[in-house]
Amino acid sequence: MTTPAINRSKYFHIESKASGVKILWLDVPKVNVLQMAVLQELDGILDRLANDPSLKGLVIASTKPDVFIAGADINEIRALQSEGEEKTYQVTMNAKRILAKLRTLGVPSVAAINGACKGGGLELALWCSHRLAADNPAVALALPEVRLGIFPGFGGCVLLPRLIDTIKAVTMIATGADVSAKEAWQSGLVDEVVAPDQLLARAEAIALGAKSKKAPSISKGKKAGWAERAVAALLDVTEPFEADRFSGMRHFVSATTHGFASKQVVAQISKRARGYNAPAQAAALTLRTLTMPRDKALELESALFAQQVQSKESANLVSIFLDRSRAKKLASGATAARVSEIGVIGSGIMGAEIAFEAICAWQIEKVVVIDIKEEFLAKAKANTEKLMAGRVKSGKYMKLEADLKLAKLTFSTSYSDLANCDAIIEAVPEKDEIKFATYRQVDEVMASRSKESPWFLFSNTSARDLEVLKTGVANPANFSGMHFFNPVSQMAGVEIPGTSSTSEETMATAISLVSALGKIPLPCKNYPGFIVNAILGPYLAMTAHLLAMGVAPAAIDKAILNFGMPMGPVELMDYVGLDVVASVAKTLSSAHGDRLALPSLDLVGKLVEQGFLGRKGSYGFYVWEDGKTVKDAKTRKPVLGAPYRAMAEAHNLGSTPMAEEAIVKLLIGTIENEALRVLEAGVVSDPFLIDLAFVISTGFTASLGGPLRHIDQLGVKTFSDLSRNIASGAEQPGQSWRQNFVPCNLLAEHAANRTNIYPADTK
Amino acid sequence: MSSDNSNNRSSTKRKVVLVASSRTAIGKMGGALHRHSPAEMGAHVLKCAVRKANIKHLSMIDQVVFGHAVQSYYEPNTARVALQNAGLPESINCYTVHQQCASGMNAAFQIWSDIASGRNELGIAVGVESMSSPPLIVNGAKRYTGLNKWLTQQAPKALRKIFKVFGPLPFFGLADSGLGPAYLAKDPAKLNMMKTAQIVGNLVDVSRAEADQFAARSHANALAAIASGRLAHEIDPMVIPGYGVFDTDEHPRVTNLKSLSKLPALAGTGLITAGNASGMGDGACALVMCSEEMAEKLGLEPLAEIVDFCFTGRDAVSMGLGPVEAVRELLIANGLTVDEIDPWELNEAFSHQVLSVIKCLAINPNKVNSNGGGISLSHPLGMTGARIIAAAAWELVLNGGNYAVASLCVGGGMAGAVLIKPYTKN
Repeated sequence: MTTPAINRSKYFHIESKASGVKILWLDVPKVNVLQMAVLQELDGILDRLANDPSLKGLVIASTKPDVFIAGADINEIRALQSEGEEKTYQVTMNAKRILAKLRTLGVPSVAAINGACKGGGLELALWCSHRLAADNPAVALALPEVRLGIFPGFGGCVLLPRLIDTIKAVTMIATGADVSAKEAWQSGLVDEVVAPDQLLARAEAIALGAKSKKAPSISKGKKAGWAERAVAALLDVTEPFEADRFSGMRHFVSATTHGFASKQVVAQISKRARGYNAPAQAAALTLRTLTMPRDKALELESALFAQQVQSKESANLVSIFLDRSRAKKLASGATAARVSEIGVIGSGIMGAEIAFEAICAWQIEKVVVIDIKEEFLAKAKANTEKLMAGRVKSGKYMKLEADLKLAKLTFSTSYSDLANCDAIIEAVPEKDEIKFATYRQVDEVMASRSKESPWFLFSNTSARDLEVLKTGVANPANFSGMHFFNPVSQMAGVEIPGTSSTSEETMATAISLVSALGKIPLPCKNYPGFIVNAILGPYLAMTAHLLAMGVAPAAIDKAILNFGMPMGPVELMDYVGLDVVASVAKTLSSAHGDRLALPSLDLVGKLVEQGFLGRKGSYGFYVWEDGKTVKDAKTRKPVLGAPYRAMAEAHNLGSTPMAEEAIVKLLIGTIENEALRVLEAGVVSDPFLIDLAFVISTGFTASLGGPLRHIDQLGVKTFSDLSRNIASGAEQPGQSWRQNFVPCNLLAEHAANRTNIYPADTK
Repeated sequence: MSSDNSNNRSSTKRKVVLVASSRTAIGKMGGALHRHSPAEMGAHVLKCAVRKANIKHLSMIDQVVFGHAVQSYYEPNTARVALQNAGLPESINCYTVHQQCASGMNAAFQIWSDIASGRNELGIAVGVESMSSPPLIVNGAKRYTGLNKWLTQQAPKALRKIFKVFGPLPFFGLADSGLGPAYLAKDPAKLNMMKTAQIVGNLVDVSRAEADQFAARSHANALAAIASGRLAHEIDPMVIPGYGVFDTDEHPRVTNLKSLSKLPALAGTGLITAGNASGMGDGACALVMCSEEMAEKLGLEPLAEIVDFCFTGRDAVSMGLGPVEAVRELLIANGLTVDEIDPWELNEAFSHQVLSVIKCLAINPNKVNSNGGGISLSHPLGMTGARIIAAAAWELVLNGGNYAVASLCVGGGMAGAVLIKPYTKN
């Protein structure tokens, strides 16, 4: 056999097989994304192929391991946001015009999916006549556009519900969730799952007309329950379309009944996606396209997409997404030192999880975990092994890979094992004397270090003053904080508070180390509570005041959940532990005055006195079991604990009528005013860091872009006016919390000049 | 708008005086005035105001501006229709403004700013509203969709004909006209006004008891003002065929704290009742304004000087606190403090709302609305803005004082405020 002819162009290589099948290899520099330039090139190629009489079939494949097409280019979406609606409409219509050529080639077109196939990538695959997926844990199919506040715009909303079960299609589009190869096969999204090394051969065969092995439920039609059939009958329209289907009384009746069922589905999704608009919009669009001929539906998708791209929600979510990579580039001038060996002192939950994250990073070659007792270390070892087993089970790592990573770990009770480390992360208990003793031992060992390169010490403290801690280290220039949030594996943000002595090289090293661990670095200055806890503390104190005013815990949590946060503040207090809340409130009120003090009717303090600490025990404000609130069997709402109910009865609490909007204004207003104070104190160099930190660490409604962007979008004067209104009466007894609403100088200045918090050149 | 004001303030502006005011007594919704269209009520106050101001050369009137909130499609430009009904010269320019509850105040602002800037000399502002008459119509967006669309375009011919002649089915409109409470309660984007009052009450901490107390006071003040003949200065009685002379506000009633506190809270607010919210009513109020020179030239007797206006916007959720910023900015622009103002006319949209404003601005409550307000007299949306200006001016005339402020909050999150002082000749 002759060597296959390969025709190269910028993004595609065309390989011509002897069988008459052509393989279109996609190879975009760095990562395969569906940029407009890629589509333009595809346009020309498809035109040429359409006129090629020797073409028997087409296979689209990726040269990148584990990635088919990762999605659209987010920078192009950002660019569209600054253009008018018309431009977006034209761009998406043009893309669909190009992709539609896959269907008019006259021969089968097969997408050979070998890895991540998301967004625009999945849409391209949907335009193909067949989809094959490799049996590989890296294969994940998704339409994650809703996470950017938009929905699929290259035909996904139209093609997907015509291919698979309507409800499954709506769910995929409205949640943006990943679907594995197997699930995709079962739902009919891919025609066949084959072994990775068979993928191309099988794709070629199918391109030549071989029959694919569809899932039994798809090929035979599974027996559905009557309710499922009724809903399906109301919602489902599958191709091919009869022309008269979309006109006349019959269509009116079917569209109306379809409308009733769709409304229910959209209402459900809207209820779940609190604070976010795109999921409901996407679901409504997806369902609506089913009652239209395909061409009209594609046009509708583009029109709505063009509007949605212009929404504040989309602009905010795209900003937050771009901010994540912006944070990693914050190191100012100084170059980061190379870190290949890490020491972790303290093998508690935090220490063990930090060590685990470190071994997962390919840049780190060795991780030494130090603790005073062997039994603590044994526990930490078990902990990391458990975490790794979880990653293997979820398909993230192969077994062999996982073992190699675990082999990087060394456990020791001797500080001398730290001597070769480039960075040491200290996670010992939050007591100054313990920390100082640790630092002394580290400094002793490192004095006899043989390596030439510098080494750094980072403290994972959340509550101690780093300016005090730095007095205990020999070289304060190479010392800073590195505050991981709990649970480390789930929380993306890591605060890096520097002291007045921290060198720029240390900051740069910390930023690059945190990035290497797959986390988002949040460089800041030493400040009580740094960024996130400094803002969260006042929010919880405000919650305690609302509870003392007699507002029902359920009303408070509901208001905040509806605002779009993942957990209500009362549940959050229970979750972090009421003793922690009480001690944080004490620290903050001693730092900032009585505006942050807990109310005189201190429900939190009383519960702590009685030994009810929240999630850690079985009672807080709610009843807890196995780390979760106990839900009422009928209402599915968390059950209030008996200790709170007894207090509520004694003090006549829980019946104060307060409008949901008022609760939100008070709680979110507290967060936003405090965020301004943190910014005013110069804790961060740029406002985006506060928004990013707060969104990724607390789940603050990302569609609002974070507390500071939200102020800008409300209008600085609007926000400042209302804050000042709420602040009036702060001098009355028991109303000192109203001082939190007195606009800080920074806000007052912006409100007077009517200028945004964000400087004009950034979004 | 407030920024425009502040720019104008630096330039020299002419003194604008109020030479006469006239209003109808306010009818309850479905009460004495329920058959009167806004233009008819407007015509009545126009005629009375012109007569009271003693303007002989009617053609000297430059402009008539109406403030009217719930405008109708069958009576285009209420101001023009009213002017024609009143028989004023048609050379007078007329237009109608809409800024919800501030419509009447905005109409006065239009006349005022044209005179202050020297563009005009003499004009009449009228605030008018008939809350009895707005029809519950199907809005355009719904008229051509769903069943209505089928009825207009696809139904059998006979049915289509009936539909064409008799119009869209009214019950499709009821829930959708914006007045239907069901729609308001369901759609979180459309804020129910009661809800905003509750929110404001929550944020500034006003209790139900305080609110009921204030409502009782409002009714007592209004009844006392009616009994003493104080309100007769403002009102020009109407003769209504089949009813007789209508010269007394219908809404104020004898009540007390005890019976008010028994009323049930509405719409799940827990605080707002029919007793501590403003009533709905029908009425019109005219204000005749001119430049100082014009008043002298025509020999008109000024009641008071209208010094300045300020309109502001804010977030809709706490709509009721609007007057706080509007008044604050108005006073700062004119170098005054809250304590220098007596009397205050603050529209009572809700007790919680007006009490919140009083608290935030630290006003002495005894200086506020001594002759009743929206809760007792009721609140015909477009009329109120003009009425409180007249009421404040009359209060200065009859009881003295250096400055008066009239202010109200506006649905959708706005507010207007006006500063009035006794007229002194230069």
